[in-house]
Amino acid sequence: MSAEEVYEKKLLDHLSDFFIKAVVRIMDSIKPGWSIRNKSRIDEWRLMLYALNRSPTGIVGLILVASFIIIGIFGPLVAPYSYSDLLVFKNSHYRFIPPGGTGPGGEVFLLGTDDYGRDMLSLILYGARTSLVVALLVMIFGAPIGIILGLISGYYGGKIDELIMRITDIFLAFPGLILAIAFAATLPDRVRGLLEANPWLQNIMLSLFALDPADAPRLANLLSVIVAIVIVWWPGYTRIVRGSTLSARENVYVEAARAMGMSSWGIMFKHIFPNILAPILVILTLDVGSVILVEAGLSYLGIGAQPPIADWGRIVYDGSRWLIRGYWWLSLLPGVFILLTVLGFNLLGDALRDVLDPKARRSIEFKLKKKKR
Amino acid sequence: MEMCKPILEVRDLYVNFYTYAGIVKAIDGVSFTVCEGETFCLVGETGCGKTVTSRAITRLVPEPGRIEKGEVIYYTPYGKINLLELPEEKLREIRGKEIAYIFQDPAAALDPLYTIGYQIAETMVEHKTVSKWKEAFIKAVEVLRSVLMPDPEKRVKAYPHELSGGMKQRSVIGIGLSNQPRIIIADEPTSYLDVTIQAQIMDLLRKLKKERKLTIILITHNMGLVAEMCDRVAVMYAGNIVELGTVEQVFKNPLHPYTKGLLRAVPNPLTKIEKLEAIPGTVPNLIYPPPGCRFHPRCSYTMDICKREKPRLVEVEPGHHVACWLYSR
Repeated sequence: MSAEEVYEKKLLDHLSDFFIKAVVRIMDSIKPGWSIRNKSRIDEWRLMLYALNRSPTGIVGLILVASFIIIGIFGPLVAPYSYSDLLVFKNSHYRFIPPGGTGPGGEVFLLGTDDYGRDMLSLILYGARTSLVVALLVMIFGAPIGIILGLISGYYGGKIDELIMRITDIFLAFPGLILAIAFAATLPDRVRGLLEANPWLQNIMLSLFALDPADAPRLANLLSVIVAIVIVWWPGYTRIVRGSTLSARENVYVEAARAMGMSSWGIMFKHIFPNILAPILVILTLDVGSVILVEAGLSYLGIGAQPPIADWGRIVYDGSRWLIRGYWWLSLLPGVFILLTVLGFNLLGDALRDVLDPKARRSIEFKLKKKKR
Repeated sequence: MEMCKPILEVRDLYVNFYTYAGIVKAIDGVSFTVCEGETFCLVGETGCGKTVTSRAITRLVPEPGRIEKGEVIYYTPYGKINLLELPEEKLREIRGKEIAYIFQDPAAALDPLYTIGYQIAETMVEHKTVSKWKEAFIKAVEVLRSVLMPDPEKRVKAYPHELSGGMKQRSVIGIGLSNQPRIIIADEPTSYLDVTIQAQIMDLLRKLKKERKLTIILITHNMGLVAEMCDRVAVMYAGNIVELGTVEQVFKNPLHPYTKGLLRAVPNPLTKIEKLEAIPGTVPNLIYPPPGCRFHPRCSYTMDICKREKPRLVEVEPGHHVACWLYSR
């Protein structure tokens, strides 16, 4: 079934076509003939994108997520001020400038300033970077642990399964946030030692978070939050992946691979994992939002990023003291950004669930086909 | 009959399944020998244990099944090995390289996410028959050509859903043959295909067998296929082999009452009959199998001894074995 048969093209579809064509051109220039070999795969992608274009919530989610990622990557580069520019020490009139207000020097502060005269816009831009990097690192380190353990657990079964599942149960028995608080509070010393021993790691982290070298000592707290979230995060994946593995390993092609003499690891990673990838991708997307929320929550509680490092949760906390005096933008603006980001990931994840599952997508296509007729 | 040079010998195999309802004694002392270069058939109705037997040969019995005892002797050119005692890594080298399987449902036996070329190449790379993936893909085209896939250069890049049932089964056979195995275990290779394709696939197997001196173990419930394809046949009932002999012996002179019933249950297109003759009763519950001969509740020749003691497989004429008290004394 080709995309043209089902859909009447709209603007977004042309945009997706353009995007796919660009990808195809790049791949073709790397490996000649790639597009011909992978024709059915490209068609699938096209159908997926078209189906996504038909979901208004999915589009909203995609836009929110894309803007978050763009802000996270480029925000610190275009921010008018640094997160540690305390303008109040230059002139006390820089304090509490409302959004859109002008400073003593005539500069416009689009989102206002806080009690130290820091530019809220810059803080939020830097905060986006912090959230993005934390979420990314948690996904990079947490998800593979959970996925691999889940695959092992589901594939081998028996005693190994029992052992791994009981360990995940132990982790899941504690409320995630509380466990994360415990880890985040006890880890910084070790992390600090590790960073001091490995300056290269420290430098990588500094540039990832777009921090001044002067803030290097504060990295430890931030990294321990990441470690803490990783520790409480993997059991969720283990459970879900184990469940999917249990059903995927019953497929005849898994048995056939075994009968062909493939190793267990080969079967797990080549034949089971790719076949359960779609649900994992959906959960990953949904979880990026949750990780951002948890991280913001931890720094709101004063455990994560230490001032002056810009972090949305921390900014909300710092501003909350002034809410009662009427300086609403200090807390509200970063709060709105947290809300929109998490909402975006949830909407996108929800839409991906329908798009990545071939059966759900077929039903979308079927409905549209009927309408067209 | 020429002298039999054994290639695979199953001795006294017992397989149990540990289910919540109880222990299913699925295979109850099965022994047979497969000669090199022959087509050996395992026939019987659904649930009689023919598939489990074939899986047990390379220890692929699915959970919660367990091989209780027995030996599977595989005669390599260098000597014989007991596959049931071989460590898993060594056994993996035999699976797919020496003994390959062809599965019932070709649509399910292919991973939907990979092209068939990839899947053929994968088995060759896995067994180090070829060293490089690139080489393996080139060889995959040859493999597809050898299983008479139309337009192999194009099909090698096709995903399973782009192929018809017959082409899928050809690819599955191709995967099985890619490492030049000595034994092919074909588990009802045609039951998911329509009749004309069945004939094509069987022709292909026969041709490949002749070309490569393959030994084929064919598992089926189709008596017509047995008569057409096989050299020797073992009839299974409820986890036992009840009769074993050459196709001629078993079809012309069936001895066991079950075999007789089975052959009578096959419609003959030349004679029109009102009603097909069925074997009365159903397959016994193998958690509590009937004592003595497992067939006695359905048998019309039941004697006292049948209910007490299990008959052993005895040779009635050269090469023709039967497990029935009517013939053993």
